[in-house]
Amino acid sequence: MAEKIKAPRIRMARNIKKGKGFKVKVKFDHPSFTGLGIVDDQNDPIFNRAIPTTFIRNMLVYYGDDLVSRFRMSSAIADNPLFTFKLKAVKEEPVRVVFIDNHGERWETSSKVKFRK
Amino acid sequence: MKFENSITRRKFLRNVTVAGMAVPVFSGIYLPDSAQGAINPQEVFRFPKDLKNLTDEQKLHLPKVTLPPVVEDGSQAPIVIEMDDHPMDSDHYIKSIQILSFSDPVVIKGKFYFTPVNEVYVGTQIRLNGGNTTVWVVAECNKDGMFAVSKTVKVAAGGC
Repeated sequence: MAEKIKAPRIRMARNIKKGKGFKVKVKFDHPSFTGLGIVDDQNDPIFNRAIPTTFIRNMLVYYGDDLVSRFRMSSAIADNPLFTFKLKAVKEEPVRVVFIDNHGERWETSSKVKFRK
Repeated sequence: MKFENSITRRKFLRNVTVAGMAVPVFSGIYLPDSAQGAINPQEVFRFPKDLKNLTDEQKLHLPKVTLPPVVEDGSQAPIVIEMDDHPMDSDHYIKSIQILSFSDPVVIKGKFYFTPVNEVYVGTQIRLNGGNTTVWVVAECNKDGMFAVSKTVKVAAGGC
C-alpha cells in the first residue's frame, strides 16, 4: 500500500456512570474499496473485478481482557468509516479496539473507562 | 522413526468420504427444505405479517433501523441499528446483527456479534448500489431465533 494508514481514533465520555450504557465512537481512515468496476455501462452494465479489493475484515472490541464484540465486515463497508457501539460500564478498565484488514494488517486503539465520582 | 500403522492419503480420503456420508444418514438430522435447494425464508427468518399490530415478542425482537430515505452518495450511506427494549442478560441476549442488500454486487455488508456486556446499538456507513435498494437487517436472538426487517432507500449515485 503506497500511503501509510494512520492509527484509528477512539472517543467516549470521560466520566461514565457505573452500570449504565456508554457510547464508543471509533474513526478509522482506511481506504476500503470493493475493487469492482462497471463494464460496458451503455448496453448491459455488469460489475467486474477491476482492481484488488481492500477492506477492513474484522473489528474486535476488548473490554479489559474480555472480547466483548466482533464485527466481521465485507468490502461493502464505506471507506474511512466511523463505527459507533454501546457497552455497559461494568468495570474501570480500558476499551481496546483492534482492526484487521483483508491483507492481515493490524491497527489498534484504546481508552480507559473512568467512573463518575 | 517408522510408523507401522501410518495412514495413507488414499485411506484417509476414503474414510473421510464414508464418514461424511454416514453422518446425515444415521444421526437422524432433520434437514429443512431450505437445505435441499428450495429456500423458504419463513423457515429461516420470522417476518411480521401485520406491521401495525405487532405482538409483544415481535416488538421486542425487531431492530430499529435508521437510514435516510434518499441517499445522495451510495459510498457513504449512514445506517444505525438499535434495539433498546431487548434484554441483554446472560441467558437471553441478541447474538448478532447482520446487514444485507440482495440487489447489490456485495450482498453481505457485515455481521456484528454481541455479548451481554453490549447494548444493541451499531452505527456505521455502508456502500449501496444506485437506484432503489432494499436493505435487510437480521437480528439473531439466542433464545428466539432470527428476526428480519427491511428498509427501502433511493440511492442517487451508486457506491459499489
